[in-house]
Amino acid sequence: MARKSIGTIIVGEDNSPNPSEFNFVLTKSEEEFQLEKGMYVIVPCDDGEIIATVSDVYKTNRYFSSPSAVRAYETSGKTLASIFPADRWEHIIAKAKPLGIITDLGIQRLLFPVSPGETVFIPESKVLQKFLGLEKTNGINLGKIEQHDVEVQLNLTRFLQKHAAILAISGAGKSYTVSVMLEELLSRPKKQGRIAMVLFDVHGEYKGLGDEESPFYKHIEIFPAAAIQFGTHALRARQFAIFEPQITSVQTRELSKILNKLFEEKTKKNETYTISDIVKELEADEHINQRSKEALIGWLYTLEETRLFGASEYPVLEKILEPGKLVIFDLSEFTSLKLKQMIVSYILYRIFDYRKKGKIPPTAIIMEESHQFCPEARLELAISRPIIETIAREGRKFFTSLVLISQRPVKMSTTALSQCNTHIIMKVLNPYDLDFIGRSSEGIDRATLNTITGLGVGEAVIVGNAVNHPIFVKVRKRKTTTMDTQTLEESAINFDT
Amino acid sequence: MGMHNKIDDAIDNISKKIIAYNEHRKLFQDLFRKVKKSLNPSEFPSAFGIKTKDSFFTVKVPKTNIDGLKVAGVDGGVIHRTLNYFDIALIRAVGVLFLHQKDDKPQVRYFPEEQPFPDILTSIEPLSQNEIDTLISIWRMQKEIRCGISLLEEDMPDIIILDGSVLPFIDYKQVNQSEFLMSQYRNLKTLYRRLYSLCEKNRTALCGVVKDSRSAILTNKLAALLPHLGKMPEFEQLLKIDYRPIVKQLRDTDLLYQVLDVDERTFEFFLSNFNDDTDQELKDFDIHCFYLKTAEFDAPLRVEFPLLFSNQHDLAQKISALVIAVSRYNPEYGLPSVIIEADARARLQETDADILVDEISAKIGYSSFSLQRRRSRLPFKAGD
Ligand SMILES: Nc1ncnc2c1ncn2[C@@H]1O[C@H](COP(=O)(O)OP(=O)(O)OP(=O)(O)O)[C@@H](O)[C@H]1O
Ligand SMILES: [Mg+2]
Repeated sequence: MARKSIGTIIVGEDNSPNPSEFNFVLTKSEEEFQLEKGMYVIVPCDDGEIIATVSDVYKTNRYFSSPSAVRAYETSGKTLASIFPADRWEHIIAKAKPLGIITDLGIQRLLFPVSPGETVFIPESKVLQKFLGLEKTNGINLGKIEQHDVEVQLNLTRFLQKHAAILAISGAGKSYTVSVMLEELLSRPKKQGRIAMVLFDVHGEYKGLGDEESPFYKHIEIFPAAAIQFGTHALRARQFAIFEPQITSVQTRELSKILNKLFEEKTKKNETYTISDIVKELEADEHINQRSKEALIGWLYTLEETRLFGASEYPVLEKILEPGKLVIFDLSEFTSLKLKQMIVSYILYRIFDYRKKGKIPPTAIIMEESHQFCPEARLELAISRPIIETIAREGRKFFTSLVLISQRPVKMSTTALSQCNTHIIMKVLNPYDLDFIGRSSEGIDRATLNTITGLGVGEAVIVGNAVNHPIFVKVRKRKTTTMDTQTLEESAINFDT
Repeated sequence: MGMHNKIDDAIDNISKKIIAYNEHRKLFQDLFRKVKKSLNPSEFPSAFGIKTKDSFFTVKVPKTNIDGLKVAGVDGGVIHRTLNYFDIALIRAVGVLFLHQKDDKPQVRYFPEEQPFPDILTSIEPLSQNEIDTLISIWRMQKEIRCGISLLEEDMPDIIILDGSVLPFIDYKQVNQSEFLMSQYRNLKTLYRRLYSLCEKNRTALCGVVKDSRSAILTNKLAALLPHLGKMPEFEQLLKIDYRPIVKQLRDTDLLYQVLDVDERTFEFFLSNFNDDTDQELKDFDIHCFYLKTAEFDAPLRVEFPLLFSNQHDLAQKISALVIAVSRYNPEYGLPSVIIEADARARLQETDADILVDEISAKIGYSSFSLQRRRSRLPFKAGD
């Protein structure tokens, strides 16, 4: 297919063309070609091909450029357009910002202006994909660059070797986008490399994904929060101290001794133990200071009341995490934030440990409402934050990636967020969040930021490591229709019957 | 101090002159407004060469319905540069034809096309600056008339309106001094004849509209006529003062701006013969004109037309009616719509010439050409 020429570069009143901007007049009629803001254009030149985005489109018409003349003519009772062939004077002018130049040496920054009179083209899909750093096939296909009908297929490594964040107001389509991403990960054939997925579903909205009708039914396993049990023997004293931050470091050290002893004895006998076993051991110990002993026993009883601690781990993470498989932890039936944080903390701690030992496949951890799990708050209100921050910092080396989803990025741990190298930003309205995103997203410019408030449901800007330039994507339709969102009517009827 | 007095004197002097001029002008304006319905130009002594059939000083222009009529207009654009005594002119002309339709915008045709590429004309004749200017205006007229001819060969408008005079107003004495200029001028006159005969054949009305405020064609004629109008009571008063120097200062549009109302024209009168010393032996045409007020707050237009058809009175009425119909849209600007469109299409930008000059300079590796343009500018901004 021949490349489509659409315009010619003109001399602008704003000292353009210059290396960061140029104007062109559309040489195709509106019927032939609809130029839109945000489109990519290409200008061939001696050194290579310049790629630019259309930052603005406007129309001119000399017949309507003098307000007084327009008024004066229209006092005749006729419109200017009915007196003159004014429509033939309408020109569409576009402003474009060069993003770079594709040369034999690769993609480089543009340091010189394009020339007036040069022809402007619409780039072919493969040129655009290459320039933006997208895959042609085998990528994570999130949707399309709408105006170009080009699929946004992210390279798996670039997207998930480091971490990613999905940020937007409620209802913008974050969860929908997550399910699209999961579909992609679930459909990957073995030879392309499959990873394990873990999803913390706070609202129970992903249950449908694992329905029997779902094509992914066999690759999804769902565990309700109530079924989850920690393997007490797998926990070090440090973990207990994180669950109960009032435990002092001296007490932690005491507890550690007890746990080591218990662990040694029990493993020899091929047995495990519970919190009651720890308490018994503590009570029997004569070296520990009485006050510490009482305090520790107190804390341990409180933990036991959560009923999360058992003699063995359920589900057995080492077994359920398989390549190409999604494990959903449905936390929706728990109201206590603390319990939810404890579960997340335990599971992440275990996963990261297994990953380091190479006992489970590379894993992506997807966390809805992540501002609840790694808030910038006191430690006792942020039990799961330390492990999230640890994975954020070190996960890359062990192929454990985080996908943090949030509607309140300002509330999130900056340590965690700053390690998310790819941001999928959907509609955001709150100026603080917007400002925060502007500061924490690398490679996002003012102009792109300004468009975020105007995004529609299912529209996103992808910035950061996964792409070479910010990309506007219309997230594709899901292949599975099952996701638990009810209309108000449905919900009311369900309740009534 | 002395300096101060001199300036004051000069200011005083100028102010007095302006006040006096304004008073005199008003005198004439009022006078002609008063007599515009009683003065009968057809009775003016024939020795003054008025040759009119109109029996009123001003004539109301009839309203005409232009639905279904084809109105054409032609205008040209020119840009001129001198490169070390080498003259380059970019010239183009555009004809537009509006087919007016009831309740719809006009259908448009362009001749030769919407935005034709300009001709690039050069001369290495040893001409003076004045001669160059004359040559370029001859070239421009040639281009415009050729454009009008091709329009008439392809379509049959009801009227064709030229921007400017309907005949070549050229300083004949100057042309006569250069053989090259003379040959170009003869060629131009031949083109005009061709245009006239095509209009005659197609029964297309032809006129030129001149939007200028400087000529005194009518006031000069009136100045000569005034002593003979003394028998009208309104003029008695005037004859008592020395009116001749006053009339001499007065321009046509200055007088008529107040005398004519919108939709009114002056009587039509003889302007010139088409023939001059170059073409005595050929068929001649009488060129007539009238002034026409097309817009309330704009100076009247001078509308010139050759007498191609026998009934000249009807011709003035027909032309004025059509010109009014396509010019009466804007109370502040009274040019025909086809001329406005043709002007916009034909107009050339300074940058068009700059690009050409720079290209030539680059070809011959001669940088002083492009400096030319910059040097011709003042080193400091005027004004401020
Ligand atoms: N790409 C899309 N195509 C079609 N519909 C979509 C798309 N994205 C989102 N939607 C619809 O928009 C609605 C909101 O989407 P979603 O639940 O994903 O929002 P959210 O950002 O996760 O909101 P919250 O923060 O409240 O969880 C849903 O009804 C969903 O079906
Ligand atoms: Mg959601």
